[in-house]
Amino acid sequence: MNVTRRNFLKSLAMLPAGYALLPQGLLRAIMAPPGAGPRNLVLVDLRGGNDGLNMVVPYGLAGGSYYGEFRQSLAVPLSAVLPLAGGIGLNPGLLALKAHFHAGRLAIAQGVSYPEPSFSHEVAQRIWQTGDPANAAPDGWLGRFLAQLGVPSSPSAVAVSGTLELLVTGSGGFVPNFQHLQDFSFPSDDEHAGDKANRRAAYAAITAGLAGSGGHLATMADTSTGILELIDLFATVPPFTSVGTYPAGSSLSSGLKLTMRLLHADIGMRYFHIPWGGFDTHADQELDGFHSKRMALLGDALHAFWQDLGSAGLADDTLVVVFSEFGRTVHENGSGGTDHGSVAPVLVFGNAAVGGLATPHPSMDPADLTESGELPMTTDLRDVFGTLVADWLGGDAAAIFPGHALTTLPLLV
Amino acid sequence: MTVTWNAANAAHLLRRAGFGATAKDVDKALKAGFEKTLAGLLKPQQGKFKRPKPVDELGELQCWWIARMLKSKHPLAEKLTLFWHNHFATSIAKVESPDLMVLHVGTLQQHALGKFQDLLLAVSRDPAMLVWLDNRSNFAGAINENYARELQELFTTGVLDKDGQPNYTELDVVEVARAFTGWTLFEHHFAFDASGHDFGTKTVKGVTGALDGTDVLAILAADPSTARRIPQKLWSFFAYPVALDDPLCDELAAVYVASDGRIRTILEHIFRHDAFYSDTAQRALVKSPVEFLVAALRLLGATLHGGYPSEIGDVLTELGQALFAPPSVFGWKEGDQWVGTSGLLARNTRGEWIADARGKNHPVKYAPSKLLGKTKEWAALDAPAVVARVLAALDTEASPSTVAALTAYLQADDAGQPQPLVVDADFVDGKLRGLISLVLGTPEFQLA
Repeated sequence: MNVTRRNFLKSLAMLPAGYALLPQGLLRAIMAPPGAGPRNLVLVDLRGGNDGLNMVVPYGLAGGSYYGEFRQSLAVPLSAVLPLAGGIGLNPGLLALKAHFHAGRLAIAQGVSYPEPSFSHEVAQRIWQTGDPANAAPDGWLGRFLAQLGVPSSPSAVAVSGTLELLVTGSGGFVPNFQHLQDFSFPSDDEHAGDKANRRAAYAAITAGLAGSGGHLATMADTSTGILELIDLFATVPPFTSVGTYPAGSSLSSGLKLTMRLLHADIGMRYFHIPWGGFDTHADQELDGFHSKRMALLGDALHAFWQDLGSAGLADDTLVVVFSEFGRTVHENGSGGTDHGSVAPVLVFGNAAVGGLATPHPSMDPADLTESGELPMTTDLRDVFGTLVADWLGGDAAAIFPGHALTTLPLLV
Repeated sequence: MTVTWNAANAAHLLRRAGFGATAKDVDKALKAGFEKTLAGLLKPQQGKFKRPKPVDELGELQCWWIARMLKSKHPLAEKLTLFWHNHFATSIAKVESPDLMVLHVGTLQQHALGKFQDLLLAVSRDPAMLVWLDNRSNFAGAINENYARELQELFTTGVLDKDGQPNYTELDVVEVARAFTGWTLFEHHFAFDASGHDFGTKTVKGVTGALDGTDVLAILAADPSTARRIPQKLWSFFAYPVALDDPLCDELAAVYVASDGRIRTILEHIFRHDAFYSDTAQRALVKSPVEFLVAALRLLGATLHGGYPSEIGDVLTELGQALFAPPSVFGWKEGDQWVGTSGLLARNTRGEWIADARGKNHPVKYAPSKLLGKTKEWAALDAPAVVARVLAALDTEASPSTVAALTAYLQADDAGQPQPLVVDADFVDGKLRGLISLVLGTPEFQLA
């Protein structure tokens, strides 16, 4: 457990035969040029269906926008939109990201969805996590990538969540889920501190005894063993002093700070899934600026995270991806909100991202809408995630997204 | 089907129909016999739903419900209310009013054992639900689809039927939403706003007419997918998880249809079923966080002081089940989902918090010595006997390796060296608490 990824790589270098076992892409990622460390990926998952049209705003598409007509009360005012390019702009809450776009650090894939999209949160969340439009895969696409890496000596991925997450689930070893580092200490009785080691030893013996027993008991025993190892590992994690200013009172901020501390610690944890709820805006979406304020919480937190990455020397090695299970209806509803839609933008942010609109926005012409009144898809989510798997993580995208012919998107430098 | 009424089966029934079976509970049930025990569990709740004193914070609400579960003479009604709270998952995060949340739980409890269609109607008119899924702002010509969609996806038919075919279309969502237009709130009470209702013709599941919400609920409650899915969820919650296409669900669906969707009849069928007492069912479920907390306290004979509401709130949040605040309309995910890294870690941390509870400022109060029986018998107890008593008191079926580890723990001094065990006051306040803490954290204790 005390083998860090870096040490692991050093040991690998002494065993050239080991390379033969690795897919070409992985080899490329691991053998990245000097100055470029192992690559990190942070996935921010906006739960509930984020209103993509009010995040990346098609205020002035060539051929007619219609945006203002669809969104009579909810449209971001033209005077407030932050123009990017081609009649596309950002929600004013994302001011912090505008400069990154122009500096070439923010790629935006637009109109992202999959064939026959689901309007159910549960089904759509599963599909975005499995990367399987048929919703049949039992594991997550990142979980399948982790399986390609092989079971690590200590966890390389984390679900920053109170519950298990499908995205990171697979046969690639133990992936912990947690939201607070300070929770990791073995509980003991303050009045009998001398007994602490005994309690812990007993618990370790209990979990070891149940390993391989099958069913829930074995699953819990494995998790318990992982917990004990993490308690030791996290005892070595140094504090990290942020240079960025994260918005207060947001679980995204705390999730990104936790991620930053673990990345900085260089303990082999590189892949993070951060679900962040509060986007199911069926009513009063902009009451007291609700959705725009969430956009600001997002943009400001991402900017602070990028500043921190820079101060830790990790900005070139880390990408942040922002997605949601679906966008919302093109039309606003009668309650000042929007109902479940389909296509939505995906943000790819970091020094290694190529700035710009990576894929076109769907036509907003009412004549072009689908039968159920949705914008037509222009980008398959498997191409977004597949490009990241192949070109950022160095994985085998064809095996991770079987049956899909990958179109590499211009997301990365 | 005749139920073999032995201690194991009696404990199993009490564990599932309530919150952990103490030795006393099991004795009582064995003396009463199966029929009388079952009738007692299924007996309608006596008296009116007792509301708490006005509360203004979430922790107070949570304490109030936990205390009900701890002390209730109708544990099944409380357990079932908890089931419905996850089925109709509604959160104070959006509803905001503690008062409406209490009313909501009252609605669930009032109809918990009744006809499913009645429960649906009550929930559809429940003020907290009208806020939570926005039907209060669903009006003719300006519909809001939120309730209409979740009513079908989560509360009745589900997305897919047993053969994997869609149960409804996007058009159905719109039609159902139209039927519920004008079901709104006036001064925090349900109100039908005729001027906002769409009296036009709608078609839902092949039925065409000027349907309103009540008509739609009748259609959805009678739908074969609902008739299968509701008992399937009840079986999975009380017995063991089954898939929709499991043949067992044919039988359960028939009970739903024959009883006109009476929950009590379905539960009685489940609790009389051979499979309910089979090895597949016994100790096969993972306790929910609320079950973990309530069972630990009940089995220890602990009382909960209501003076620390925010701490109880923290406990529930850490364990992963903040009552009145499910993470989304899907509710909480069950089974192994309860015991991921953070959940299992919290069960250890809070297990220790319970086991080592001392003094007036701790919300939990209990006497560890009670687990060992009479003081004069202590001298005769060796380590294996102490472990056996504590495991029995905590209703835990431990594997031999766990028993060995716990026994070794009792005999280890602070240097980890084995020492003869002496049961005295120091032991009771030290090692015994440590043993309880460890048992509450074992994988075995997490099973129900």
